[in-house]
Order: sequence, then structure tokens, then C-alpha cells
Amino acid sequence: MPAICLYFQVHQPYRIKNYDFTSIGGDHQYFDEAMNRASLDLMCDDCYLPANEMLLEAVERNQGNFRFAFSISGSALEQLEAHRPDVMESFLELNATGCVEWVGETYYHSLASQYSRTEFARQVEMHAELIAELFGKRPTVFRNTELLFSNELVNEVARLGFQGILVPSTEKLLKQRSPNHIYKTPLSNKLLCIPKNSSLTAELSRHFYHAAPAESMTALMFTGLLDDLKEEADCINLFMDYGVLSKQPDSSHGLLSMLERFPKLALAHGHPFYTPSELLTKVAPTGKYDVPYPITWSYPDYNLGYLTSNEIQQEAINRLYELEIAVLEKGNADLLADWGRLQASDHFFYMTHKFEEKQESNMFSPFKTAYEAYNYFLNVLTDLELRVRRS
Amino acid sequence: MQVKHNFDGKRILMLGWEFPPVHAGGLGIACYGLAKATRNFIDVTLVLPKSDPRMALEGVRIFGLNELSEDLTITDPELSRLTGAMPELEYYQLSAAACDSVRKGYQAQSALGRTSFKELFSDAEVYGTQLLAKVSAYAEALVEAFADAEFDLIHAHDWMTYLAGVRLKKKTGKPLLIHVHALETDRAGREARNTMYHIERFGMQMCDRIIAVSEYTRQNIVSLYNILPEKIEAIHNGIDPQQVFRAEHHVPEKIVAFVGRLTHQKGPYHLLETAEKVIRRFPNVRFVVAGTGEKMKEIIDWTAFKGLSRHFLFTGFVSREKVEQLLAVADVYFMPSVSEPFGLSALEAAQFNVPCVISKQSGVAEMLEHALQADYWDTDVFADHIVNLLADDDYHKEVLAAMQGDLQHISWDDAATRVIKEYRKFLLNE
Repeated sequence: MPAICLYFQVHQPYRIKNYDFTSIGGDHQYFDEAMNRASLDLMCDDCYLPANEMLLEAVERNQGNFRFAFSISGSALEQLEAHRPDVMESFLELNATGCVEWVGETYYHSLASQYSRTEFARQVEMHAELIAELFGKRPTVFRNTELLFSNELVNEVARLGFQGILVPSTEKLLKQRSPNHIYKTPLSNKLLCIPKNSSLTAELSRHFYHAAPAESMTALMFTGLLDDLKEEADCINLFMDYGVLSKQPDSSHGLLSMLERFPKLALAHGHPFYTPSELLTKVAPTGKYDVPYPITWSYPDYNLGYLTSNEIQQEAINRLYELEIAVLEKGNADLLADWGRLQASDHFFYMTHKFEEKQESNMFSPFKTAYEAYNYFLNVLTDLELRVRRS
Repeated sequence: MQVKHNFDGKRILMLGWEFPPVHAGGLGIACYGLAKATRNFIDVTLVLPKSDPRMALEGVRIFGLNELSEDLTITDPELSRLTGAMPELEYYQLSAAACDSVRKGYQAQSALGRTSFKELFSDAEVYGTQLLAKVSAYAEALVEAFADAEFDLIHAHDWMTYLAGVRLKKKTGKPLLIHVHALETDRAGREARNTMYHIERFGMQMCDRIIAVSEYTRQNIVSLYNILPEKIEAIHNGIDPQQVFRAEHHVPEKIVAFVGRLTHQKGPYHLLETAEKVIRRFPNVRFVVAGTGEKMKEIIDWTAFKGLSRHFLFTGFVSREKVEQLLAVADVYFMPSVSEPFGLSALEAAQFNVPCVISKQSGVAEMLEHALQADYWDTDVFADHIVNLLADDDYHKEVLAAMQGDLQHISWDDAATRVIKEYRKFLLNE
């Protein structure tokens, strides 16, 4: 029976405040502490705490056979350490079970891999060190922001000491093969890739999200879907944002029963749970996954459309990375931290026009419009440029 | 106060739409300045659609039609018949196309369905949705409230009050003076022949006298509205002294300030074209664009696409206080308006000791003769002016000094004296 590889991502950015043009040159506090604090608390209380508890119970109930992976961005960890020691404690408790693997990523949840190899390596290293310090083990599997991946990244990620990478899968690039395997990469025999099974991830997320008490059968149905794959699958890789395990007004019972029943059922049906690094040792790679251009896990286009496609996103990113040499040269810790925090992909996500084009609002953005996000970001950036020049 | 007796106790009924501090638009500021300067000479009552306790000017009665004890129910949903203005428009033999345009404007708005005076003016915004319906309701309520009141002359400010002025004139036989602060042809382009245009033209035809806020506007009224030049007097507004200050700015670049709505009227494309030429020759410059409007997205995209964002700052909507903070650090004020009836913001910049580069298609160009000027489309000349001011401190001082001289000639007292002279023609048959 195919193995199951579960992975959850946790990230909280430092959102910038309504930083007025008159503040430039005088105010160097860029981030909206109150808002960041409120968003953190909301996620902690609605998701991280209750979900950690449910996972912990599931681990205990299944005698260590229910195993999964997390990645937590550096900026999320910083904020948790500063404000929510209870939640940090709860992640440490999960870690103590030995059933959790911590996956590496860029410290600031950035797009550095696209813009600067030096900065990319610096952030990956920073994050790996923080994970080792907190959880006692350096990550050996990597995930890039938005699972962003292409062949170009392979050698760099391998060089940074990783043996595997979580990647998006698209039908076009898989060329009619299934995502339920691990693949070699074309440029390196040191790095293997673990492709996400998008359709089953979506299916599972939906159950977590919407399952009502009467639908607790879904655990059985979902396991049935996995059973059906026995012939042609090695592993089913389910990668999702941890937020899908958030408490919902009506479905917390469904969520709980899903988590209660699914691991047990899956194990009973002969599906082992492997963490990503376990997969690399237990499953043999088949073929090569050739990704000549960057792809992400962003549905439905699997590209960077939401992050780097319009003029204002490109201008903001270009100006941000133009600062690199000077910021690194000065080596000032405050400058480095602010520059890093501004690299979070979230800032550019707030500048997308894609919601507006669909007459929707960007519910994740703290700003009313893409242009408002851009103007405040550029005001902040202008101030940072001045500080770099003057320091 | 004794001067008032020269008018034998005659009274002016001034019709306005906005008033500071609730609405800080140019029209409100102009009405305030004019009422303040004329109040010592003659008895003034200002009628607004909505009053507010914060609006106060000693010696002037400010009356909001929202204070009427009874709400006016406007029963006919088709607003074209509501004011009685429509038959008049036809009576005055406007072309069928003109009548049709006005009718369509009314009908489009009547569909929104608010039909009583107080409902219509329930929004915080006195412009906003259903403006034409508000204009009609204002006219109806005004006649209801003032048909039997004692006054001797109606002085109506801008198109929103023209229909009301015409109706009251017809009802009472009192002379009507309309005061043009802006034209639809400024806002919507010289070719505009829409509802607002026709209401303006109707007012101009029906009134006894027109005051235009500048010679530029007077000429537009003659050429675009076909009104006899003899009927129009150009009187520049004054300007109140400001508490001005200078501040150190934190960005190392020289600052060129643009303040205004980002609409076609304000010349945003000419701003960009000029900026690009300036940046090429004088890179140490930053254009601070203060204001928002329908062209904002396009303009921001352009600066991003060209990779020129580091030479710009976009402030979005700005408060009065922020405008002053900007003027206090600006090195040049730039107003490339396509058509600017007056241009108060340039006068304010001059008060803040900022030399101005302004479009010749503006009223303020007549007042600030020493401001550097060009036709709004001539971005080469605009760029020359801006670069010269930025690069040459002596020239900067020289232009500023000359502009300070221009400012000396501008006062509300002069404006009031000339307006009073217009009143006398009707009140004392002078």
C-alpha cells in the first residue's frame, strides 16, 4: 500500500503599517505591531493550539506510527517566541514525540531564490540554524516559498546540504506520470524531489475544512481513495497550509473526527505515514522530474502570477533586491532584519491585481487596494534606502 | 458697519453648496472668503443644502435647507419633471439634443429611488450619488423656503445652485447673479456637452450678470457657452494669509510637488512626460504626487514600468495638514492642468515660498505673472522651467521674489470691492 506523507506549513509575515510619506527619514518602525499581534493570536487560538493538540493526541493514539512534517518560517517563529510561548511549548511537545520532521525553508518566506543566490543561501542557512537550535536537528528536506521550484534551484539546494525538496506537480511537467512517487532531478543525483499530489491534497483539505459530524464517513472514503491507488503509487504526498486545520464554527467536530479516524484507518489499511526524509530512504525514485521553468503550488496556474507578474510588484521587488550588496556590506543587524522582513512574499501578494480583475477583494491583505499596499511599501523602502546610504 | 447703510438695508441671498471646515473644496473656500470680505458692506445670508454647527462666520447667516422643519417629499419619481426646469429648458429653445441630454441625466439618477429632501442629503457627502437629484431638490426646497423672504439679489455659486437661482428669480423677480468658479468644460474637457454643461448654459442665459473667477474662464464662457462677453465680469478670488513654515525634508532629492485630484483635468500625463524629461537632465529629483483619482493606477503603473519609482512618491488622499507639510519641504510646485479656472493650490504654494511652474490654461497664471508658465501640452518648456529652478539657486530665489511681488496684489478686499460694485449696479442702479 502506498505511504502517506503529510506536510503542514506555518507562516506569519511582518505586515507593514500605513507608513505615510511624511514618515520617511524619521520613522524606522515599519511594521504594524498591533495588527501582527492580532493576526498571530487569531491563528494561535483558532488553529495552532487546537490543531497541535489534536495532532498530539493522534500521535499518542497510534503509538508513534502517525508521522508528519512541518515547516515554520523564521518570521513566524520569531513572533511565536516573542508573544506566544504557550504555542512554542506546544510545538516543542509535538517535537518531543519524535514523530515530527522539520522542513527547511527561507527564513523570511521570501522569493530570494529568484533574485539572489547569495541571499537565498543566507536565509536558508539562518532558518536551518534556528530549527536546529529549537528542535535539535538540522532539516534535510527543503521547501521553497510557495513550493517554488525549477531545475535551476537543484544544485543550489543540494549544495546547502539537503537531500530532498518538496515540489509542486503539474500534469504538463509530469508528462502523464503520477505524482505518487519520488523523482530524481535532472541536474544532480544528490537531490530528490517529492511532488505534491494536488487533487488528493485538495480533497483532504476540504474534509478538514468542511466535514460535519454526519460526514465522519469521509475518513473511510478518503482512505478508500488511497487504497485504490495501490497498484501504481509509492507515496501520496499531501502538502498544505496549516490554516486548513483551523477551527470552523460548525465543523470542529468533523475536523476532530477526521483526525481521530483517518490515521487509524489508514494504518489499518496498510498505509504507513512517512515524513519526507523517511520517504527518501524507504522509497526508490523513479525517473526524472524535469522542470525547466519556475512553478509554484499556486492554483490553478502553478506560476508566480500572484506574486511577480504586474508592474508594481516587479518594481517593488527590483528595488528591494537592488539594496542587497549595500545591506550585506554594512552588516548592520537592524538593517538586515528590516530588509529581510520586507522580502516576505506576502507583501507582493498584497499588490496583485488578480482579485480586482475578478471583482473580489484580497481577503489576506491588510490594505484596501494593491496600490495602497504598493505605496506604503515603497515609502518604507525609500526610508530603508536612506538608512542604508547613511549608515 | 456703517457702510452697510449705503445699500439702504438691502440684502444678498447667496446660494452655495459646500462650506469649510466640513468641505474643504475650492468652492467652499471661495464662498467663505467672499462672504467674509463682503459682510461688512452688505447683509449676506448664505443658503447651503446642509448646514453643520462647525460652519460659522460672524456677521453672515448660514442657513441649511436641512433645517426646514418639514421634509419635502418628492413624489414624482421622474426627476426631469420635478424642478420645473425642464419645460423652461425647452421654452428657451435649447436644441432637442440638449434637452435629451439633460433628461437622460435626470432619468439615470432617478432610478436610484431616494425621493425626499432629507433622504437625498442623508449621505455625509454633498456631492456623491444622485447629485442631479440633489440639485433639483435643492431648487425646490429653496423656493419653498425663500419665495416670501426679504432679499434683493440672488448670488448663485456654481452649477449646482443655478437651477435654484433661476427658479427663485422667476418666482420673485429679483435679479440673479451667477458666479462661475469652474465649468464642466474644465472638468470634462472642452467638448463636454452633457447635462451639467446644459444646466450651466441655462443659468448663464437666464441670469442678469455673470462673475467669472478669471479672465481665462470668462473667455471659455464666451467661446464654449456662446454668452455675450459684456454680460461677464472677471473677478479674481482673493487668498487668506496662511501660517506658513519651512521644514527640513528627509529625502536627499529636491522635491517637486503636485497637489490635486488625479483626473484628466489636472494634466497627469503631462506631469509624467515632464517628469521623465526632468529626471533625465536632473536625476536628483523626486516628484511627490499628492492626491488620488481615476488616473492614479495608470500613473503608478507607468512609473513602475519605466523603473522610475524612486523618483516619485504617491501619497494617496492627503489631509490639509499633509499638504502643508509637503509645501513646507517642496522646492518647486508643478501644476500642469489642462484647464484650471482658478488654481488656488498654486497661490497657496506661492504663499509657502515655493516657486510655481504652471499651465497657461489657468486663472492663476493671470495672477502669478512671474510664475514660470507653459501651455499644458508643452512638456519641453515645463521641463526647462523645472530644471532651471532646481539647478540654479539664484534663479530659484529670483523667481520666488518676483512671485512674492505678485502675491502682494491679491486680496479678498479687492475681490469684495469689485463684487460689491456688481451688486450696486442692480441694487442702486449705478
